This record gives sequence, C-alpha cells and structure tokens, in this order.
Amino acid sequence: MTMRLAPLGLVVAAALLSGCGLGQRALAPAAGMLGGSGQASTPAMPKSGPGTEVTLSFRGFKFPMRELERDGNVVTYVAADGAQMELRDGILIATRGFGTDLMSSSQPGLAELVRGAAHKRSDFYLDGTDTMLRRDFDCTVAAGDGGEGPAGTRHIRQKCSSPDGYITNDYWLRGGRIVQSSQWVSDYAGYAGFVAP
Amino acid sequence: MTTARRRAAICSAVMAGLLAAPAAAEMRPTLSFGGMTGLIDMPTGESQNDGVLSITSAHFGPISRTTLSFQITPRLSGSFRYAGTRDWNRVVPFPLETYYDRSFDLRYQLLNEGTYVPGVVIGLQDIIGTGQMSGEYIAATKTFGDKLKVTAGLGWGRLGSYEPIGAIGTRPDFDYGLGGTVRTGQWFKGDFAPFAGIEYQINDKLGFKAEYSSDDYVTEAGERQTFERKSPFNFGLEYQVNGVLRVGAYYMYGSELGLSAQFALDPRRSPTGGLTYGGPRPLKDRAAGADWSTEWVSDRGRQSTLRDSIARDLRADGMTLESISFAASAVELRVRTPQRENGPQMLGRAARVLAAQLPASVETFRIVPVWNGVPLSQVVMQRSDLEALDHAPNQDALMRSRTEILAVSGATPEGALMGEGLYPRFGWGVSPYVRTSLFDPEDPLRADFGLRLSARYDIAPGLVLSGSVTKKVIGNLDASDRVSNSVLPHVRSDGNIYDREGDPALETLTMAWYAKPGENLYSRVTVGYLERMFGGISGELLWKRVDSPFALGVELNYVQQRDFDQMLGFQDYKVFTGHVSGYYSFGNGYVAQLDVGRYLAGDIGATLAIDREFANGWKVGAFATMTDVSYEDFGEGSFDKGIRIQIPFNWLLGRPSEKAYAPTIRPITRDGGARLSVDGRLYDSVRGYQQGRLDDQWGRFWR
Repeated sequence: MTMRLAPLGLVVAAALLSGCGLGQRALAPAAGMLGGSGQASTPAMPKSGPGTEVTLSFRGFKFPMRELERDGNVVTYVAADGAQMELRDGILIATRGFGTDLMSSSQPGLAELVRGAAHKRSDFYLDGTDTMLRRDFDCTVAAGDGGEGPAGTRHIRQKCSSPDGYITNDYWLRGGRIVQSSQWVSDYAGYAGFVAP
Repeated sequence: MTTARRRAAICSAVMAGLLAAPAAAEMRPTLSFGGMTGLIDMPTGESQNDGVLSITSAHFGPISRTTLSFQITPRLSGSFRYAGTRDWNRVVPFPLETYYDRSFDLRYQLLNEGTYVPGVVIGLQDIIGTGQMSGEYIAATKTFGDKLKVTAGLGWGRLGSYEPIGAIGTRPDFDYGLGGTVRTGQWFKGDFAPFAGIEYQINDKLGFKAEYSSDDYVTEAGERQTFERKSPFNFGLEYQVNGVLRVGAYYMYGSELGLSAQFALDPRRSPTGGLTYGGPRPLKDRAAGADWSTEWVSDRGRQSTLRDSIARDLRADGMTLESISFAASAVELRVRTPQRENGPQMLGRAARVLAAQLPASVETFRIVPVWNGVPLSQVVMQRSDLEALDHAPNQDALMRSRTEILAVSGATPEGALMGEGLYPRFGWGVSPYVRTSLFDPEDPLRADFGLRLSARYDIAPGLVLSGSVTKKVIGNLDASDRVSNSVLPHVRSDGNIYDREGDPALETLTMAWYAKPGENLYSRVTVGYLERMFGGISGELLWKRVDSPFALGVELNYVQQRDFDQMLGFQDYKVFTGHVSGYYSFGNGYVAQLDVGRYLAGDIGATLAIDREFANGWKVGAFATMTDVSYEDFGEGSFDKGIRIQIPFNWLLGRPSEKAYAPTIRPITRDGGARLSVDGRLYDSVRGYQQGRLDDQWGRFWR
C-alpha cells in the first residue's frame, strides 16, 4: 500500500531542533524546509525609548523590552523577537509569544493593591490545543519585608491561591509607582522580574 | 541576553517539565511493549491524557512491535500494532523468515483512580486481526505517594496462557479467514491467569518497572522456538529524555534483552511550549478628538488609498485583500486567509488592520473570509467593542458574544473596490515529499523521497489552473514486484507499478471552478488529471448553513484510469463514481461523515468516518467502508478501513506554516471501497470559517 507518511519521529526531532536550542537565525531555514512561511507580521522593537528589563527567573536570564504602545494606563512592551507583554500601571495583565500565553487576566488596579484589599483574580491561558484555560485565585495583599527590592521602596506582597497551587507576586513602589516587581506569568514561563531602568 | 536564547530556554524548560508549578508533580502513565498504557509486557489500569497520540517501537529477542495509539476520549483508547517475529521458520516451515502481523486493540477506563479506589481498565487486544495477539484483560492500578504504582490484573486468551487459575467455559477456535472481522465469540472465554507489577519513579527522569507476566508465548517460544521463555518476570529501566521521548532497556523472560522508544505527543503540549512568534499590531483606539466626518466616503481617491494601505498591512499578516466596500459607518472586507492558520486569529488581525487605517466614522466591520474565490461567512463586529475589550479580562469570550457570524452573499457588493493584481496571478513552489509503502511482508517499510514542483494560476475569482510534478530523488518503492491478485478492477492495488513507473510523474493537472450558487450552497467542478491514478471530471455541491452542525453534499465523477507512467495517457478502465455525503459536527471537535454511493471499482456501499479535531488543527480519525464486494472478492482484510492523522506543522514549530503531517494508514490497500482522491473538497474548507469551528478556535482572536 502507498501513502504519504513522513516518519513522525524525524518530523518531531526536526521540529524540536529547529524550534528549540538553535538561535533564531538558524531557525529560519529549518522552518522554511518544513513549510514555515514565517508570515506573521510582528511590530518590531523600537530602537530607543522607554522600556523595562525582564528576567525570567526560572533560568535566570534577562532581556530588554521597549514600549510599543501606550493605551491609557496600559503599556504594551515588545522584545527583539516581537514577543509582547501588557502591563497596566506596572501590573502584568497579558503576554503574546511566551508559549502558553496569558491571554488576559483580571488583576487589581494599582490603587486596590496599595490599599491591601483581598481580591479575586482570574487568569486566562491559551493551552496547546488553542483552548482557553481559566484559573481562578483568591488573593491577599500584605506589606513585605523589603526582600530583594531596591532601597527606599515600599514592598507589597500579593499571595494568590487556587486549587492547583499558589503564586506569590512582589511589587516595590516608589512615589506611588511600581519600579520593580516579580510577577507570575504562566506554568510555562514561570515568574518574570521587571526592573524599570 | 538574546531573545533567541530566551526562546531556547523556554523551550528546554518546557521539555524538561521544570515549570510545572504550581501544579503538583505527577507520575505520568507510561507505555508498554505493546504500545498501550502499561508496564513492560502487561497492561495497567491507567490511561494517557485525553488526546495523546503515541508511537512505540519495542524489541526483545526475536520480537519487534511498532504501535500507534490514540486516547480517543478521556476513557477510551485504541492501538494499531504491527509486529514482526523473526526465526519463524526455525523449526516449523514457513515461506519467510519473519512473520508479520497487524493487530488492533481497544481499552476502556472503567474506574478512575481515587483516594481509595484503584484505576480499573478493561481491554480487548487484537480484536480484528489474525488473532495472534488476541487477549482480554481487566487491570487495576493504585498509586502510593508520588513514586510508586502497583498493578494487578486478570488476563484471558494470550494473557491467560501462563499458570491459569481458572476458566470461563472454553475459548472457541477462530478461523480468521481473510482477517479484518471482529471475533466477539472469544472474548473473556477460556483460561484466565493473574498478572502483576510495579512501577517506581527513581527521580524526575528515571523509572523502574518489574512485572509478572501471564503471557506464556505459546506459539513464539513453544511451537516455533524463536526464543526461550525461562521466567515469568520482566525488569526494565526507562528514561524520560524530554516531554516527547521516553526510552527503556529491559531484561525479559529470564533470557532476552529488550529496548523500547516511546514517542508520546500531547496536543495540549506543543514541543515548543506554544506559539513563540510575536504579538499582533496594537489595536488603535479612535482618539478623543478624532475627525468623525463622513466626507471621505464620496472621495474615490481616498478610498483607493485606504484600500492599498489596508491591502499592504493584510499582506504583512499573510492575508490577501479580495475586495473592500466602504460606507460612512460600515465596511465590508473580503479577505483570503492562509488555509491552516487559526481562523479567529486571522479575523482578529484583519480587524486590527481596519482599526488602524479606517476613518473614525466607521463603526461596523464586516469581514468576509474567502476561499478559492468563494465567500464563506461574514463576521460582523463593532469597532467600539474591540476598543472596549482590548486589555479586558476574558476578552475572547466577551468579544465572541458581541460578534455575529452570518451567511453571506456570493456576489461582491456593488461599488466594492477590488484588490489589485490578484487575477490573473501565477505562483509556484518546490517542496520535498515522502511517499511510503507499509506492511509489505517482504519489506514492511519502503519509502521514496523526492521533490514536488507545484504551480497555480488564478485566472479569475474561483477559477484555478493548477498542477504538480514529482521527481524521486532516492528511495526503494520501485523494489516492490508484488503482482496484484485482486479480482476487482485494479483501481488501487497496482499502486506499486505507479510508484515504479512514475518517475518523474505528472501528479495532477487540473482546472477547477469554485462557486457559491446560493446562500447556503457551494460548488466545485474539477477537470483534468485529478490524482495520480485517475483523470476525468469531478463535480461537487455542498449545502451548509453557516449556523448548522449538519451539512449535505453530492459528488459525481466520471474518471478514467491513468497510465502507470503518469504522463498524459490513459488506460481502458472508465468508471462513473460518486457519493451522497452527510456531515455532522457533534461539538467538542467530534465530526462524523457518512458517504453512500458508488466506488472506483464500481462497487456500491457506504463509508463511515469519525474524526476528532482539536482547535489547533490536530485531527485523528478512523473510517470503514462496506460495499457489495464480498469479503472473499475484497481479499486480505475483508473490507477497506483505516486511520487518518493530521498534525499541523505550525503546532510542531510554534510559528505559522501551511504544511501538515497528514498520513492515512490502512492495514492493507485493496480495490474495494476505494474513493477518488480529488483536491479541493468543500466541506472542511467551508466549515473552517463558519459557526462551530470558529467558536472552537475563538481563543486566538486576540493573538
């Protein structure tokens, strides 16, 4: 019998190699061979302008993101590869391009956070099947002990629990503005640290 | 730190499974030698995660098994296995040194594991093959802590052959004849024997397995003496290489070494951890002081400037503007989208382009996805909803509830501006291809690798001239000199002659005309060299309402068999073939299709196909065809059946791709129940941009 059957193992191996482990320049030809058109316009990172330094703490490395768009109090930041993060008054509300993305979330406003009010939080993730997953948290807010934050800042710690587990977000404020934070992104990306330059 | 390294680090972390917090670590169910969820040679009372597709290749002594398994629902799974036993003719004469056998299993999770209750699975092994692997079992598995699982069970048939402790009647003999029929009469009959085992997780990567097997290998070890079964105990170590691959080494039956490799793909966990390409253009809100005047509508020059800038931005997102018509408060955009890309994501990105370009007075966006010149639906959204829901929690569900997906007229609105340079338009490409031949007892895996040159000429909307030529680069498909023994017209069973003589081959060369003759009607007429074995004329009409899970289609073809060299000539065989097809989408991705009609060999019958399709384009399905051809005339396998899989490369790569890995696997290809294989069948493409499918995929609207 005859059919078109590329050995699956090879395909998977090629995808793993091309998607992971090689740099982006190395990826392009491999993706082309496998039919990757690369056809998705992505706004580029501005060459200069305000930005933030992001650390994905699970692996302990850093990359810069710059401001792409400001819509009221929501700022969309973009990295060199086009991945985006949306922060409202410094609080992460969405990502695009970080694996299982945080597509949207209900987060307290900055004023609510500063006031220390208990609140509910819902995160909406896109899983590998392109289906939306919702995770609901109950959160409390308390003053922190300063932790690893910069001197002369006020430390606020948000603890959220869900049936799946809990997360702890830290915010350091100066002059009513978040200047540094460590915030939960997703099961895949872990925590992200943000430092305003 | 470069972003490429950031991506790489995310990938490796995902594959290592290190970012699973806050969810607790768990022992994932692993696979057995037979490719089903289990220990080493014995099953367990667990199931894989819903939707997991796995391929297991396992070998010990003279025995090799390759198995494809799919977790069809959270409780039901199926396995298709191809097994070879070497030294088959060591003591009993047999024409070949290796005996090959196909088998199919089903297993069902009766009880899910609870705090006190074990997980319990009932399984039927080799239910339609020759019966060589035939056996039934009930297996129970309980997890203790997060490191230890204990399994005990009872087996019948093959799994009740060693030290049975009782019997239920006697197991009737089964004359498998031509194979392919279900052996219900034997199930849970005859001797039954206990089996047991443990699985211990040494660390994140390494697992230990030990079992007591109730399979006596009566034929392999006893009658044929292909190996010596000295002990019922098996031991193994397995290593989880990454999220997809697990390898194992074993000591089997007191005499043999074994090796296995398990590939398990979970549609929920793409190898890249998800979509790793960049975000969309930001949604532009209308500024507070925007110019709300409507004078621009009467300015034809302004409109064509707008059309050009919208077309440019759409092109950057992989889309093509077919037409756009402007009114003061509404626009209708007809747009061609990449076929395999997520529909709602394309609609969302098109809406962002419109929001960025259009004057403030336009409030309503009507976006009409177009496929081969045919509009499929109109998706109506309000610009103020987009503006209000950008950055809002649960924005996808909220946006869907404010979006209408409606029927659309086939005709472009009067006064619409057409996209420029679309017709006529020529395009071409070269891509690699692989063609394989499986399960030939003389060489169970043959393959050709080559290049395919394809070209497409869009003459007018819906009118397409296209073709493809293949040239083999390397391969051994031409080594098959099997002569078809089919008593039916050789509509498929001469495939090896086509492989041998068609190098290079004119694979297809067709003129196709797609149209929308009525509000819910879609049509296709294709003329030419339709597929590698047949040419002629093919016509199709589909009735599909935009809001209905049901569709009805008719396809009529008059075709003639092509010459083996796949150039322009034909053989003598001509046939009138066609079907009436009913389609039903049950929701949650389950789709059924029933075709009733006349097949290529002139036989009359019906095909039932059931597919499970995920929002990301993964598809796994099975089909079976019964026609008025007797089992005897059909030959080996008794009737046509198979499994089909589709895994889009964009899921594998985490970035846009128009390609997919989409094999159809038949245990054997014969001439009965064979359908014409013509490009551009309507249902899947039409359904892709209508209610139901768009709802399933809507999570990516804002991506």
